[in-house]
Amino acid sequence: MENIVKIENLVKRYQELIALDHFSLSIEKGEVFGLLGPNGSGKTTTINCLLSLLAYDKGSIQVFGQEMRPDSYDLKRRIGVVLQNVAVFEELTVFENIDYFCGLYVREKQKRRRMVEEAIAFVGLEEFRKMYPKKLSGGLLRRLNIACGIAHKPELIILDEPTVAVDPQSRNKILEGIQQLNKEGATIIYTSHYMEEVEQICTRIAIMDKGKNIAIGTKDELKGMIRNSENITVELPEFSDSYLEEIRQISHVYQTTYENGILKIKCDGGKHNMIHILEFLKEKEVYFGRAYSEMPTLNDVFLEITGKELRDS
Amino acid sequence: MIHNFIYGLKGILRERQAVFWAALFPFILGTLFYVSFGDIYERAEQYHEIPAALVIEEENQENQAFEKLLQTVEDEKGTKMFRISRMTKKEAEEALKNEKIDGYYLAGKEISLVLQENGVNQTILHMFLERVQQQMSMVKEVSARAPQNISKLLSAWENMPEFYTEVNQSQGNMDNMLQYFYALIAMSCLFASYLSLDRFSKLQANATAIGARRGVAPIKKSVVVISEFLVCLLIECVIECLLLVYLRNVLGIQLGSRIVYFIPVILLGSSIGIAIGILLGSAGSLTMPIRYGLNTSITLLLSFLSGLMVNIVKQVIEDHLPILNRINPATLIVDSLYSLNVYDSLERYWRNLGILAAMTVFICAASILLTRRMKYASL
Amino acid sequence: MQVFNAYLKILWKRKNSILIYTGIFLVLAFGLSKMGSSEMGGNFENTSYPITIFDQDQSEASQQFIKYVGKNNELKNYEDDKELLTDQLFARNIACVIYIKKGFGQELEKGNAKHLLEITTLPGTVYSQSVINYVNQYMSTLYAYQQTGMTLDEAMKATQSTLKKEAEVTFSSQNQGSEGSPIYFFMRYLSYVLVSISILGISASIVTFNRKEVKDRINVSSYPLFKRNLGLWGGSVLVEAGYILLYLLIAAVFYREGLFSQTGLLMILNLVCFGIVAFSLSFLIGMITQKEQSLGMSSTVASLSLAFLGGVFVPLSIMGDGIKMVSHFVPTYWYITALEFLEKGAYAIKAEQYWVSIGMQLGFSAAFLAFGLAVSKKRRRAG
Repeated sequence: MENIVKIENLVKRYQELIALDHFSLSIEKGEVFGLLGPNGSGKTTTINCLLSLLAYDKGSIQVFGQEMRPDSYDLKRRIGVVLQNVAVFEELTVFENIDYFCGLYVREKQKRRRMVEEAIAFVGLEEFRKMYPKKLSGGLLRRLNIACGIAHKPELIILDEPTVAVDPQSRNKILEGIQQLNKEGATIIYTSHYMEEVEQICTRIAIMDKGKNIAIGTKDELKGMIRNSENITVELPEFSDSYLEEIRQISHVYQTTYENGILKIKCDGGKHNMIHILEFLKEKEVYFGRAYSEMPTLNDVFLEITGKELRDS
Repeated sequence: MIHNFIYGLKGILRERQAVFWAALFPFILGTLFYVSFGDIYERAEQYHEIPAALVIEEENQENQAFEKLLQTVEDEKGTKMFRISRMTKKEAEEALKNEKIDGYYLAGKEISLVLQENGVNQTILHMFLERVQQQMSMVKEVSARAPQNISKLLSAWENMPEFYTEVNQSQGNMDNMLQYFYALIAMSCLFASYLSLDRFSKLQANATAIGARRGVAPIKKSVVVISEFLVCLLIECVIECLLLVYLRNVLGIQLGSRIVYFIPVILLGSSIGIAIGILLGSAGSLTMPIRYGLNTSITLLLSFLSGLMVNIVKQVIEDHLPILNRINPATLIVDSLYSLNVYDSLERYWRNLGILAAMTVFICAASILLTRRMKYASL
Repeated sequence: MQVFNAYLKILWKRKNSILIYTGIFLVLAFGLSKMGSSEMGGNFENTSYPITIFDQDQSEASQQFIKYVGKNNELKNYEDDKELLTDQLFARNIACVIYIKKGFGQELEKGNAKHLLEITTLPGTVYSQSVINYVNQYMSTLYAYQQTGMTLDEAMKATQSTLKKEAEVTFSSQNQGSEGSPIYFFMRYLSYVLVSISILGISASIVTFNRKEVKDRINVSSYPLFKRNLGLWGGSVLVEAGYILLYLLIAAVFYREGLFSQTGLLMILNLVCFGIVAFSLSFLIGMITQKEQSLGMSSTVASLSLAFLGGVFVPLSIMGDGIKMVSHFVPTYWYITALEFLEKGAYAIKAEQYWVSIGMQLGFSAAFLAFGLAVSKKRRRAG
């Protein structure tokens, strides 16, 4: 498979702070590649280096097989960017903003016009085409931000935390739209600290922390890297420590905690772990409320590898 | 280029506050200058009849002759020199205190002059009296020495030749209050920097998100710079032309007759103003408040040095440190307009425009180099 | 105190731009005060004028002429360059250029006095009238004596003797004219500087404070509006006091003599009152302005308008009566009036005029503050 992006041993320092610490990754054509990590892990720095907006100290970056430089206009023509901060002109309407930025990539007027209309329809801003950004809500503004970045139908689309402070409706629309773009042939790089989004749309994910690539793979591969294979949660008004100890003896249970009336059990492998736990509780005549089982999340992956929560960092 | 130009124009015209101030402030100041001192040349510098009074304490032949002389004396151009009123001493004192007269002659045994303060009119009153007394003394002297020549003396006074020819170095308007208006036009040109600073700061990826978005687009920096430059130039030139029409046709300021030559001055003056804004807009790591601060300070300082606040500054600098005038864009603009007005030859005019053009190109080139292939150390 | 502290923090963050303004305007203040004290055009109390004479004859007669005309005016040396001389005339550095033609002495010997001089001046002006009077005075006396049979030498001697006679002049009351002391000029132009720097420093910080998100957050709190404005005033007054102290410190170093006297102390009081005007105007402008970008231009317009209308750059004495009426509605006018009053030494005679000017300035301040408060209240409701 063709490598669209190849980053090797990237190092970026801000005086004493190492923002990127020998960071490497490669992204293949057609992927929806997720860059997941807590705030300050280096996701945006990676993107900015990739786009030649930020100077880096060491390493190499290749896009479409060529070295990326500030004057690589041919490469830039094939890239679409949706930055973290909304980048639109306050003095231009929705239509004019999209038309302007599309015009930086596409010269032909007719073709551009068509692309702009498609972009407006794509993000669902038809009713707002003549409005100024000032009048739009946060979610609509984000949609406009996206439209400005993808109107020219780029081969590679980079979205840096596009759903920050966005209402659920807009958020879903954005995620659906990204998947649609991918179906139409675009390679996507998606950065976020919301694991649910990354899990939902990304085909391959790299987890970052402190400028390092700590794990990379599909979500199943990542989950397979950790011991945890199932999380069981039971609501219990009371539970003694001796019972906790006994549950730990049950097969495939490797961690138990009981806090604020919630019993949490982590299992590694095995089938029917939930049934075993419930049978134990029934046997000991322990009254319980709701009980449910979940597959491990990327947060669990992050937690196990780094010892921190994705959102706590 | 056209795409950038059109959207740049749309964007700038919709920034109402910025355009409002850039457009309106020169009109406000121009009007202010006009009402404050637009007619000073006519009112205070041009010669008018001097209001004075005559107090006769002793009716004698000499004093009566003096009174007649005061009422009829004219200058070379045939304008009456004095507006004389006969008053009592008390009335004259009162009139002097209330500044209705500049002074009064007290004609007793001798004639003396009473003033309240020093001044040009007071000097002329004084000189006139002195002249009369000197002439009387001449008569006495000639009478004593050679009385037969008295008639020759009187004849000489009646047939005085023209001792001098008056030569005008310039056919232009020598009202030096024009300096203020020229400096106003210069300042207005330099204020184009506010427009360009705002536009160009949006190009910087480390200053605005739009700058970052434009930074990743496949468009040469030089194309963006040139199109934004042209947008600002168009707006500014329109403002300057309207200002010119307003000053000349509405306020009636005699700026000079060769108005067509004002156009290159406006073009280059606006260009240098825009160039300054571009340079500040491209200045890497400065925050926006500092950029605006520097912009205001620089334009004000340059304007001060060109004579906006005190009109003789330009000449004082020319006398002591002329190199400063050659590199101050505001002064170059002022001097171009001044030399158009006062001189027939356009040599100085073209020299100034040449320097302005060179400075504009240099500053723009520096800005392009600064932003071209720009990678930032931090965003 | 919350708002006051926050305001000071914002000011501290802006310290770099404030320092830039302070520095530049310090240069302006010095430059202006130096320029102001060398004005010719604006000071019509001068009775002799700077002139340039080119003696192309170099005879005894031409020397005598120069001696007389030069005695009564200020002789300046310049190169005989048409452009240079035109520039000096335009700038009022000289009032007149006189060329004594070659053959001046010889022609006079023959008794011919016609067109022996070439004069370039500012036509029809009082300067030209004054200098030409001196020229005519000398030449007509000389010519008249020659016509009565004197030789040129005798006529020159007699002319010098006659023209020595001076007419008696008395002044009706105490001459209140004054050249203008250095401290006077410094204080005069400081009014322009103070308004500019106040708007750029204080208004800018208030605009930051009035940004929608910040303002909304304060408005929904239980913090009363008046207390908020009081906090802003407190911070602004502190800044204004800082500016005034700085400039007074500079005045104390460079204009010590003028400052530490009764007049000087009254000038300081006048300046403090004007500082209050500047702060209140800055508060109002900060309340009205929405974007910081436009402050640079609005401060220039406001400060220059007040300065020109108030008689800072162009003296009140040479402004028209009509515009002087309008000037009464400008606080700078009252500041300058009080300053000129003190400079003339008239405080001892009529102190109340000074206090009226002080009162008017404080009145303007109150009006600006009230207006600013009204705008603040309106914007709170409008959102």
